[in-house]
Amino acid sequence: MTNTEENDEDLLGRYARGDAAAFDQLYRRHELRVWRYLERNVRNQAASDDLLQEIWFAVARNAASLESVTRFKTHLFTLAHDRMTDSLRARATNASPAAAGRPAVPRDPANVLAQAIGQLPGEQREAYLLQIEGQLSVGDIAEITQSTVDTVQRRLHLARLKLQELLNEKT
Amino acid sequence: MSKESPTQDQLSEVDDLYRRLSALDTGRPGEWVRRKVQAYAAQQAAERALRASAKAKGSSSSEAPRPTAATIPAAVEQTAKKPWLAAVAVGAIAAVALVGFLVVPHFMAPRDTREAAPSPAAVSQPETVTPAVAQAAAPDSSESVSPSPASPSLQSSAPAPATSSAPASATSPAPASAATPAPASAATPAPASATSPAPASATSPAPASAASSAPASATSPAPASAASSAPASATSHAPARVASSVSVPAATSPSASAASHAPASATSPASVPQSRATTSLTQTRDVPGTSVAPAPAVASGSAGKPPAQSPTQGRVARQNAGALHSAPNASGRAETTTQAARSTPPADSEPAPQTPPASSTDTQVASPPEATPSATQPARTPATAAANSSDELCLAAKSGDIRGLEAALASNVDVNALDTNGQTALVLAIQNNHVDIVRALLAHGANPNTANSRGLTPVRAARIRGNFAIVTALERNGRH
Repeated sequence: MTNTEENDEDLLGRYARGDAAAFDQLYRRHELRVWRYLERNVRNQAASDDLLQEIWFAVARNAASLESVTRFKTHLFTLAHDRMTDSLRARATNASPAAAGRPAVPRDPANVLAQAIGQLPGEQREAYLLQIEGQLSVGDIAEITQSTVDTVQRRLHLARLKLQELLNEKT
Repeated sequence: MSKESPTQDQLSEVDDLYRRLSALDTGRPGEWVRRKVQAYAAQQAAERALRASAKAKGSSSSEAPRPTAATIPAAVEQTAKKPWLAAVAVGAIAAVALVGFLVVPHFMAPRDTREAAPSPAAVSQPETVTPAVAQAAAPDSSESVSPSPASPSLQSSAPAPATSSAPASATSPAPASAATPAPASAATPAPASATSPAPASATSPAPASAASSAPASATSPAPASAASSAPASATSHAPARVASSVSVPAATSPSASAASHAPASATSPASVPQSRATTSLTQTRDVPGTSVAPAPAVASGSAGKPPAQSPTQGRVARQNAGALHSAPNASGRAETTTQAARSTPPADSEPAPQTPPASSTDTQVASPPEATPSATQPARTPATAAANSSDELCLAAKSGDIRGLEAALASNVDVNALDTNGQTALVLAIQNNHVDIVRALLAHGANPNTANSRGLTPVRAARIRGNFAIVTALERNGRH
């Protein structure tokens, strides 16, 4: 995001005042990151699409009340985290690598990454994806996941170690 | 809350590797998601803009009606452009003042004077007008018969104007004297009757019930009109006023039967005022189709009559009644006698469409209009009842009304049901931070995982509100 671009909060405010184009801009800015965060946690593309739709519906619906949000991105990923958690719990889905929905394609870089991410423990994977996809700070991640900063830092550290090991093996 | 980057270079290489591999990932969200989200967002924006414009209009319209200093000079200027307007206005004011001077003293005059010396016009007018009413005005007017306690056999009909304000007179506190014979003549003009303190029925109250009905006429339903199958009575807006006329159609006049077929008079509230000379209330009940036709213009005069009338007026009324009885019935039925009225089936047996909404088929003066539940209230289906119950439950949950909630729960309503807005009671209680309501709902078996129609789960709602007490309560009750 360059300096000339409007920040998320301004776009949200414009949309709250009836500017639908501002919402489109906001959506395109965060669509892929949110979707990847969901898809690499849920390991199901269709479920990720549904969750993504629900999240953005909620944003559009509550835009007026979200005008006071100072960090839209944090709020967006909070929504994503909560929706995803509810979905996973409701379906009693095990987010383990065995539940990977993507067909295994050997030597496919994207699949290698997906498998490696899928093999991370859930809490570490979520923390890592929030940081790498959401570009959120440790404090924001701690707020979203309702944990402490120290816990998040530890999870991030362990996630990187594990991921490095897995990626080195597969690549 | 500062953003922290990995400190170790080794670990930062993992991030670079992740980004490189992720860039090669062709996975994207479905295009339909984008279309749906954008459409939904546009819809929301349009609705929001609509609401904003509506609010703006509401605020502007509230300020508009107030006359401003600019509008008043404009009106003056317009008047100046049309000088004849001032002359017309002055003339109108003068006419109103003249009418006031002429009419008001007439009403202010003592009753005794009028009773002692009734004007010949008043006596003769009913005779001349009543037949016309019975024959000509039958389709759009209903007759009113004033009960005459003094002469049970006497059947005098006093037509009242369809547009008469006789109801006003019916509400007047002037009591009817039972000893006074039913005058029913009432040649008083309509305006007079409108303002007259004496009700039409008051002039000829029934012996027992009718006498009491005269004062209570204001609140009593229109029995005769109810009994009549005339659509007029069905749609009449002044059934209570009719009650003042005691509504006993013992003396069923041809105009009455004719009026029973007159739907036009039915819609007129003035059609209600009636004064009939009746002998018994039972007779009035038995008269189905007859009765209650709104009285023609002449009849309205009876409304303005004082309660007690002179014997001359009584004779006029009898003559009038006789004329009405002799007159042919517009409907072809001669319902002029009480016997005929008795022989007719009760109003209760009338077909549904003909029964008035008030369904006050009884002629008891003091009896209030009986509303037929089947006619006035639509049948409640189980589905609607359940929806209402869930709505009540959700309303209580939203407002934090614990008593209302318990009352709704006592009615065996589904605690997890969605209301008409697609909300669950639990989510509404959470959104409004009613912890006690949440606990009560959970105690009554509310599912902590049931989302509303928008997919909002109770836990999510609690997290949005930031109420961890509710989150804890949900987790204790099986939230997973």
